[in-house]
Amino acid sequence: MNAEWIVRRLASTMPATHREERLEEWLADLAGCEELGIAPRHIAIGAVVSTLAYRPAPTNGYGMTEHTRHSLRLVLYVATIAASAVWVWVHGTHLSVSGSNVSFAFPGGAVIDVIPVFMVAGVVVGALAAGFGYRSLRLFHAAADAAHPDADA
Amino acid sequence: MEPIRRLTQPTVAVLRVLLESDEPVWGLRLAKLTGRAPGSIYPILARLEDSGWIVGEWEDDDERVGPRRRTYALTADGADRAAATLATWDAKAVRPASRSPRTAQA
Repeated sequence: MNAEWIVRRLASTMPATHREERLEEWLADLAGCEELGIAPRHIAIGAVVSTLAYRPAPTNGYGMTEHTRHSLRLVLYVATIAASAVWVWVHGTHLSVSGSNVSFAFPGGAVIDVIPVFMVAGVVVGALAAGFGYRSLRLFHAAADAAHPDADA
Repeated sequence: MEPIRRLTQPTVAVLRVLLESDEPVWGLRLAKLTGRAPGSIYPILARLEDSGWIVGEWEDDDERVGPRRRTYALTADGADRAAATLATWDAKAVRPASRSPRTAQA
Protein backbone atom coordinates (compact mmCIF):
# COMPACT_ATOMS: atom_id res chain seq x y z
CA MET A 1 0.00 0.00 0.00
CA ASN A 2 1.58 3.31 -1.01
CA ALA A 3 0.82 6.99 -0.74
CA GLU A 4 -0.69 7.19 -4.23
CA TRP A 5 -3.15 4.40 -3.43
CA ILE A 6 -4.19 6.26 -0.28
CA VAL A 7 -4.79 9.63 -1.97
CA ARG A 8 -6.75 7.90 -4.74
CA ARG A 9 -8.97 6.17 -2.16
CA LEU A 10 -9.42 9.41 -0.21
CA ALA A 11 -10.23 11.41 -3.33
CA SER A 12 -12.92 8.87 -4.20
CA THR A 13 -14.67 9.73 -0.93
CA MET A 14 -14.84 13.45 -1.79
CA PRO A 15 -17.98 15.01 -3.25
CA ALA A 16 -18.11 14.59 -7.04
CA THR A 17 -17.76 18.35 -7.55
CA HIS A 18 -14.27 18.36 -5.97
CA ARG A 19 -13.07 14.78 -6.56
CA GLU A 20 -11.02 15.19 -9.74
CA GLU A 21 -9.56 18.49 -8.61
CA ARG A 22 -8.34 17.15 -5.26
CA LEU A 23 -6.96 13.98 -6.84
CA GLU A 24 -4.92 15.87 -9.43
CA GLU A 25 -3.61 18.28 -6.80
CA TRP A 26 -2.54 15.48 -4.46
CA LEU A 27 -0.98 13.44 -7.30
CA ALA A 28 0.99 16.50 -8.45
CA ASP A 29 2.15 17.07 -4.88
CA LEU A 30 3.22 13.43 -4.65
CA ALA A 31 5.12 13.73 -7.92
CA GLY A 32 6.97 16.86 -6.80
CA CYS A 33 7.28 16.46 -3.04
CA GLU A 34 10.79 15.05 -3.07
CA GLU A 35 12.21 18.12 -4.81
CA LEU A 36 11.03 20.10 -1.75
CA GLY A 37 12.36 17.51 0.66
CA ILE A 38 8.90 16.40 1.75
CA ALA A 39 8.27 12.66 2.15
CA PRO A 40 5.33 11.15 0.19
CA ARG A 41 3.85 9.88 3.44
CA HIS A 42 3.35 13.48 4.56
CA ILE A 43 1.20 14.08 1.46
CA ALA A 44 -0.85 10.98 2.28
CA ILE A 45 -1.25 12.07 5.90
CA GLY A 46 -2.13 15.58 4.69
CA ALA A 47 -4.80 14.13 2.44
CA VAL A 48 -6.22 12.09 5.34
CA VAL A 49 -6.30 15.15 7.61
CA SER A 50 -7.77 17.29 4.86
CA THR A 51 -10.47 14.73 4.16
CA LEU A 52 -11.40 14.48 7.82
CA ALA A 53 -10.97 18.15 8.75
CA TYR A 54 -12.54 19.88 5.80
CA ARG A 55 -15.05 18.61 3.31
CA PRO A 56 -16.41 21.00 0.72
CA ALA A 57 -20.17 21.38 0.68
CA PRO A 58 -21.36 20.11 -2.70
CA THR A 59 -24.59 21.35 -4.20
CA ASN A 60 -27.19 19.28 -5.98
CA GLY A 61 -29.12 20.31 -9.09
CA TYR A 62 -31.33 22.56 -7.00
CA GLY A 63 -28.42 24.44 -5.47
CA MET A 64 -28.88 22.73 -2.10
CA THR A 65 -25.84 21.97 0.01
CA GLU A 66 -25.25 18.55 1.52
CA HIS A 67 -25.88 20.07 4.95
CA THR A 68 -29.26 21.45 3.83
CA ARG A 69 -30.23 18.07 2.37
CA HIS A 70 -29.36 16.32 5.64
CA SER A 71 -31.34 18.90 7.60
CA LEU A 72 -34.37 18.43 5.35
CA ARG A 73 -34.08 14.66 5.69
CA LEU A 74 -33.97 14.98 9.48
CA VAL A 75 -37.05 17.24 9.45
CA LEU A 76 -38.81 14.65 7.28
CA TYR A 77 -37.98 11.83 9.72
CA VAL A 78 -39.14 13.83 12.74
CA ALA A 79 -42.34 14.90 10.95
CA THR A 80 -43.10 11.28 9.98
CA ILE A 81 -42.57 10.05 13.55
CA ALA A 82 -44.67 12.91 14.94
CA ALA A 83 -47.48 12.27 12.44
CA SER A 84 -47.42 8.55 13.27
CA ALA A 85 -47.55 9.31 16.99
CA VAL A 86 -50.52 11.67 16.51
CA TRP A 87 -52.32 9.12 14.33
CA VAL A 88 -51.79 6.39 16.96
CA TRP A 89 -52.91 8.72 19.74
CA VAL A 90 -56.08 9.79 17.88
CA HIS A 91 -57.13 6.34 16.70
CA GLY A 92 -56.07 4.39 19.76
CA THR A 93 -54.00 1.22 19.88
CA HIS A 94 -53.69 -1.80 22.04
CA LEU A 95 -50.38 -3.05 23.38
CA SER A 96 -50.67 -6.56 24.80
CA VAL A 97 -48.11 -8.58 26.70
CA SER A 98 -48.51 -12.31 26.78
CA GLY A 99 -45.63 -14.19 28.33
CA SER A 100 -42.54 -13.22 26.36
CA ASN A 101 -44.64 -12.05 23.42
CA VAL A 102 -45.41 -8.35 23.04
CA SER A 103 -47.84 -7.41 20.28
CA PHE A 104 -49.19 -4.14 18.99
CA ALA A 105 -52.78 -4.05 17.68
CA PHE A 106 -53.81 -1.30 15.25
CA PRO A 107 -57.43 -0.07 15.05
CA GLY A 108 -57.90 -1.72 11.64
CA GLY A 109 -57.27 -5.12 13.17
CA ALA A 110 -53.64 -5.55 12.10
CA VAL A 111 -51.42 -7.02 14.79
CA ILE A 112 -47.63 -6.99 14.80
CA ASP A 113 -45.22 -8.65 17.20
CA VAL A 114 -42.94 -5.98 18.64
CA ILE A 115 -39.91 -8.13 19.54
CA PRO A 116 -39.19 -9.45 16.01
CA VAL A 117 -39.48 -5.91 14.68
CA PHE A 118 -36.89 -4.72 17.20
CA MET A 119 -34.66 -7.69 16.39
CA VAL A 120 -34.73 -6.96 12.65
CA ALA A 121 -34.09 -3.26 13.31
CA GLY A 122 -31.16 -4.22 15.58
CA VAL A 123 -29.63 -6.46 12.93
CA VAL A 124 -29.94 -3.71 10.29
CA VAL A 125 -28.40 -1.07 12.55
CA GLY A 126 -25.66 -3.50 13.59
CA ALA A 127 -24.81 -4.30 9.96
CA LEU A 128 -24.63 -0.59 9.11
CA ALA A 129 -22.39 0.07 12.12
CA ALA A 130 -20.10 -2.82 11.14
CA GLY A 131 -19.86 -1.46 7.58
CA PHE A 132 -18.94 2.04 8.73
CA GLY A 133 -16.52 0.60 11.28
CA TYR A 134 -14.78 -1.54 8.67
CA ARG A 135 -14.43 1.45 6.31
CA SER A 136 -13.01 3.63 9.07
CA LEU A 137 -10.59 0.89 10.06
CA ARG A 138 -9.29 0.56 6.50
CA LEU A 139 -8.67 4.30 6.26
CA PHE A 140 -6.93 4.23 9.64
CA HIS A 141 -4.64 1.36 8.58
CA ALA A 142 -3.91 3.11 5.28
CA ALA A 143 -2.82 6.24 7.17
CA ALA A 144 -0.75 4.18 9.61
CA ASP A 145 1.01 2.36 6.77
CA ALA A 146 1.78 5.67 5.09
CA ALA A 147 3.28 7.01 8.29
CA HIS A 148 5.48 3.92 8.71
CA PRO A 149 6.26 2.63 5.21
CA ASP A 150 9.17 0.49 6.43
CA ALA A 151 7.00 -1.53 8.76
CA ASP A 152 6.14 -4.02 5.99
CA ALA A 153 9.79 -4.71 5.20
CA MET B 1 -16.09 37.33 0.67
CA GLU B 2 -16.64 35.57 3.97
CA PRO B 3 -14.62 36.42 7.10
CA ILE B 4 -12.26 33.87 8.58
CA ARG B 5 -14.08 32.32 11.51
CA ARG B 6 -11.05 31.00 13.35
CA LEU B 7 -7.71 32.68 12.78
CA THR B 8 -4.84 30.36 13.67
CA GLN B 9 -1.08 30.68 13.46
CA PRO B 10 -0.81 28.41 10.38
CA THR B 11 -3.49 30.50 8.63
CA VAL B 12 -1.57 33.66 9.42
CA ALA B 13 1.62 32.05 8.08
CA VAL B 14 -0.14 31.11 4.82
CA LEU B 15 -1.58 34.62 4.41
CA ARG B 16 1.82 36.15 5.08
CA VAL B 17 3.59 34.05 2.44
CA LEU B 18 0.87 34.74 -0.13
CA LEU B 19 0.91 38.46 0.63
CA GLU B 20 4.68 38.65 0.25
CA SER B 21 4.71 36.66 -2.97
CA ASP B 22 4.45 38.39 -6.34
CA GLU B 23 3.16 35.31 -8.12
CA PRO B 24 0.86 32.38 -7.38
CA VAL B 25 2.44 29.82 -5.06
CA TRP B 26 2.24 26.06 -5.44
CA GLY B 27 0.26 24.61 -2.52
CA LEU B 28 3.03 22.27 -1.46
CA ARG B 29 5.62 25.05 -1.63
CA LEU B 30 3.40 26.97 0.78
CA ALA B 31 3.75 24.07 3.19
CA LYS B 32 7.52 24.23 2.78
CA LEU B 33 7.74 28.03 3.10
CA THR B 34 5.54 28.15 6.19
CA GLY B 35 7.29 25.17 7.75
CA ARG B 36 3.95 23.46 8.27
CA ALA B 37 2.89 19.93 7.38
CA PRO B 38 0.68 19.51 4.30
CA GLY B 39 -1.95 18.15 6.69
CA SER B 40 -2.40 21.61 8.20
CA ILE B 41 -2.00 23.54 4.94
CA TYR B 42 -4.49 21.67 2.73
CA PRO B 43 -7.57 22.42 4.89
CA ILE B 44 -6.50 26.06 5.27
CA LEU B 45 -6.19 26.51 1.51
CA ALA B 46 -9.56 24.85 0.95
CA ARG B 47 -11.24 27.11 3.51
CA LEU B 48 -9.60 30.29 2.21
CA GLU B 49 -10.52 29.40 -1.36
CA ASP B 50 -14.14 28.64 -0.48
CA SER B 51 -14.32 31.90 1.48
CA GLY B 52 -13.04 33.91 -1.48
CA TRP B 53 -9.77 35.05 0.10
CA ILE B 54 -7.59 33.15 -2.36
CA VAL B 55 -8.02 31.72 -5.81
CA GLY B 56 -6.55 28.43 -6.96
CA GLU B 57 -5.38 27.89 -10.51
CA TRP B 58 -3.79 25.02 -12.37
CA GLU B 59 -0.16 25.66 -13.24
CA ASP B 60 0.38 26.11 -16.96
CA ASP B 61 3.74 24.46 -17.52
CA ASP B 62 4.15 22.64 -20.82
CA GLU B 63 7.63 21.41 -19.97
CA ARG B 64 6.56 19.38 -16.96
CA VAL B 65 4.69 16.13 -17.55
CA GLY B 66 2.21 14.47 -15.21
CA PRO B 67 -0.59 15.92 -13.09
CA ARG B 68 -0.85 19.69 -12.97
CA ARG B 69 0.15 21.55 -9.85
CA ARG B 70 -2.37 23.79 -8.14
CA THR B 71 -1.15 27.27 -7.33
CA TYR B 72 -2.76 29.82 -5.06
CA ALA B 73 -2.85 33.62 -4.93
CA LEU B 74 -4.79 36.17 -2.91
CA THR B 75 -7.76 37.78 -4.59
CA ALA B 76 -7.82 41.60 -4.69
CA ASP B 77 -10.23 41.76 -1.75
CA GLY B 78 -8.36 38.93 -0.08
CA ALA B 79 -5.09 40.85 -0.26
CA ASP B 80 -6.68 43.88 1.42
CA ARG B 81 -8.25 41.76 4.13
CA ALA B 82 -5.08 39.73 4.60
CA ALA B 83 -3.01 42.90 5.09
CA ALA B 84 -5.48 44.20 7.67
CA THR B 85 -5.67 40.81 9.39
CA LEU B 86 -1.90 40.48 9.60
CA ALA B 87 -1.56 44.05 10.94
CA THR B 88 -4.06 43.26 13.70
CA TRP B 89 -2.37 39.94 14.43
CA ASP B 90 1.09 41.48 14.60
CA ALA B 91 -0.15 44.30 16.83
CA LYS B 92 -1.55 41.73 19.26
CA ALA B 93 1.70 39.79 19.14
CA VAL B 94 3.77 42.92 19.90
CA ARG B 95 1.58 44.11 22.78
CA PRO B 96 2.91 41.69 25.46
CA ALA B 97 6.49 42.60 24.50
CA SER B 98 5.76 46.33 24.92
CA ARG B 99 4.61 45.65 28.48
CA SER B 100 7.84 44.02 29.55
CA PRO B 101 9.96 47.23 29.82
CA ARG B 102 7.23 48.74 31.99
CA THR B 103 7.32 45.65 34.18
CA ALA B 104 11.05 45.91 34.32
CA GLN B 105 10.89 49.58 35.42
CA ALA B 106 8.37 48.84 38.15
